[in-house]
Amino acid sequence: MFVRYFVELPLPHGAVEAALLRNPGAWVQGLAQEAEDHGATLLAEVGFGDSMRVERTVAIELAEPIRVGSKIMLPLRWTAAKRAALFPKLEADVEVAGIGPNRTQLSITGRYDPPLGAVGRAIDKALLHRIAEATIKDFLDRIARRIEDQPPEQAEVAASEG
Amino acid sequence: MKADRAAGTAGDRDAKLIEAGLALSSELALDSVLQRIVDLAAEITGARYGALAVLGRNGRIADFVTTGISAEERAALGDPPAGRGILGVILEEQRPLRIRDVTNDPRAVGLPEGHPPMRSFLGAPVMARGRLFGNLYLTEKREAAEFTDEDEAAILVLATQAGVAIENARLYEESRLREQWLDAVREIATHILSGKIEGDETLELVAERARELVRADVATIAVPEPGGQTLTLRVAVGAHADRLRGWRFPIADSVSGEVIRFGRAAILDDATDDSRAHQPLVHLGDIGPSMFVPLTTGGRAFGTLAVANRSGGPTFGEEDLRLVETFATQASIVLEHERAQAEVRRLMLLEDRERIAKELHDGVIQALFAVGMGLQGAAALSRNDEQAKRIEGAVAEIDRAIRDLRNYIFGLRPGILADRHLDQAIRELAKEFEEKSGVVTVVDVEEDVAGELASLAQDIVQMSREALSNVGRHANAATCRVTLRREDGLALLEVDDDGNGFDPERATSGQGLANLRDRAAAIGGAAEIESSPETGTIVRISLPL
Repeated sequence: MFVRYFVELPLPHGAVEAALLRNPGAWVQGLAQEAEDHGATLLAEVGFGDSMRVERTVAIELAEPIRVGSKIMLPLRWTAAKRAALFPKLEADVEVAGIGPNRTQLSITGRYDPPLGAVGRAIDKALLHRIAEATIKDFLDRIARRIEDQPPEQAEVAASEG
Repeated sequence: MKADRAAGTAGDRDAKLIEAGLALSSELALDSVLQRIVDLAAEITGARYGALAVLGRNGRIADFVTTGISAEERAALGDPPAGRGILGVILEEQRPLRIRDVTNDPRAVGLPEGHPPMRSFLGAPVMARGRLFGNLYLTEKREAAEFTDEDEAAILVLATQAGVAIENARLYEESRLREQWLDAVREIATHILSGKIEGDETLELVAERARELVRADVATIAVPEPGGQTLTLRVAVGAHADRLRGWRFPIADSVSGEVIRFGRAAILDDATDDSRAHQPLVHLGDIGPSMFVPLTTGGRAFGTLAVANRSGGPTFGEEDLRLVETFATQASIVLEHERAQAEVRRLMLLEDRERIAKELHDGVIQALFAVGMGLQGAAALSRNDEQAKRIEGAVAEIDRAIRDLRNYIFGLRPGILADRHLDQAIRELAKEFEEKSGVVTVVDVEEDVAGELASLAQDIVQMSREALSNVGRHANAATCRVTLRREDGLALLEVDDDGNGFDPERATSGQGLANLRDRAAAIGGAAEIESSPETGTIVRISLPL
């Protein structure tokens, strides 16, 4: 299934790019887990699963960022630890693209495998897709907030280091 | 002409000298001119024996022309005089010397065995325009106990004529050499500018022309292997060329290594005397005089151009050095040009990949994604299960197509490398190898190095696979280690095992070693194999970062 979502940030393209690529392995995992928990809560609200999970249920693998033209893409793979998860597997690219001197689009484009087994059979596909979209939106919003919360000078330093 | 008669009256003598001058001016070949001068000198002065010693560019006697003795007698005397004793006095004082009985002169060092007895002596330096070219001397005046003032005057005239003749010959030779040099430089420059410097053709041309111009028996060009610890004789021309070409040797404890380290040329009078262990020309055993000139780029020496003669051949001097240095400069330009072209090709390839990736990502993938999302929405709206299923099947196909395109864009390929980092791929490969072969395999990869090599990941995984495959098939090893680390500014991929080992010199291409070298070279690196029955095998692949 395909999912796509984007946000606009009132920051220069270079600053967003630098903030995203600054050791993403250290913080993307945490944001993904929070988004997964958010998705699990939504699932629980419609009668599936348990919203009180505390164990790590998602693993994020990041590939090397790829520059395509003026855009930079950070490919990631989202793998669920449990088969009953929202996404058994999601492959996505987080993209940074400038749309003005101080405006940048941060987007995520992904494809996921819907859950199989009992969950897959029981849950309405359209509902599941909405929850998947909400989870992806939540994930990207968290990334955007983290980038925006980063002090400008830190972003500049990160940009110059990149 | 034999010195069998003396000139008679003063008039006869003058006539002979005039005749000598005319004769000299009509001769072109220096050997003939010098022989004529010695013959005439003996004839005019009534000397039984005469000789003319010509100094080479290195200050040693290079030619020795005699009269009054046969070729057999001359050969029996062995090497020409070294220029000591009476002859040395003439060279040192650069004035005529007349001695009644040379055997009583305290400056004499004696005559070699078999040398005809000599008493009376008359010698003069051979000079022109203040330059000393050698000496002309006569012995054993036939009809008197010693040479006369008139004889001395005559020998001075002839020595001066000899000096002019030698200088002219030298100038002629130098101008011919310069012409050859210019031709060679032009020829090499044309080769370089044609852009057709692939392979070793241009470097061979440089080495060959350097060898020809200094009349050397052999010329070699040594270039470094990636890693900087080893040199390879990439080009060898002349004697032993087949044996020398491709010879790889450690940079340490070699003449070339020292030349590179100090950035200065080295001239050896006799390579067989050199104590450094690792120089192919020294190893040959029959190479004497040799000269090693650094190849430089950006003020840094990185290789050598060497010329050498067999033992007993002429030594090299400053003029030879200047000539070879110009060829070393050209060889450096060829190598730098070659490196720059490879870099341009690499960048063009990257540029092409970048362009294709951009078009695929921004065009094809976006379009497929939009279609996929549209179909996805259509499937959700469909009230017909069969229809929805078919639409979902189409969505899955689009998903697969997008996945393939992403793999292509990211430079990844299906299989072990798909969607994995290089370090992960190497670990996975090692794990697979261990499971299949039973060889305990340890992986030690510096992640930052793996990250920098992401664009070469496919080649690196393939080379690792090839090396591990060799371990599995040939080594009979118990353990194996795969390392990827940074060393001296390069990335070093090593696969080492504790197996049987082999003699790399006798390795066949069936062992995949040629493939490894080719693949490494194709991405700007180099592969080398270190192996022995006692220590197992190390395949070492160095790559630019």
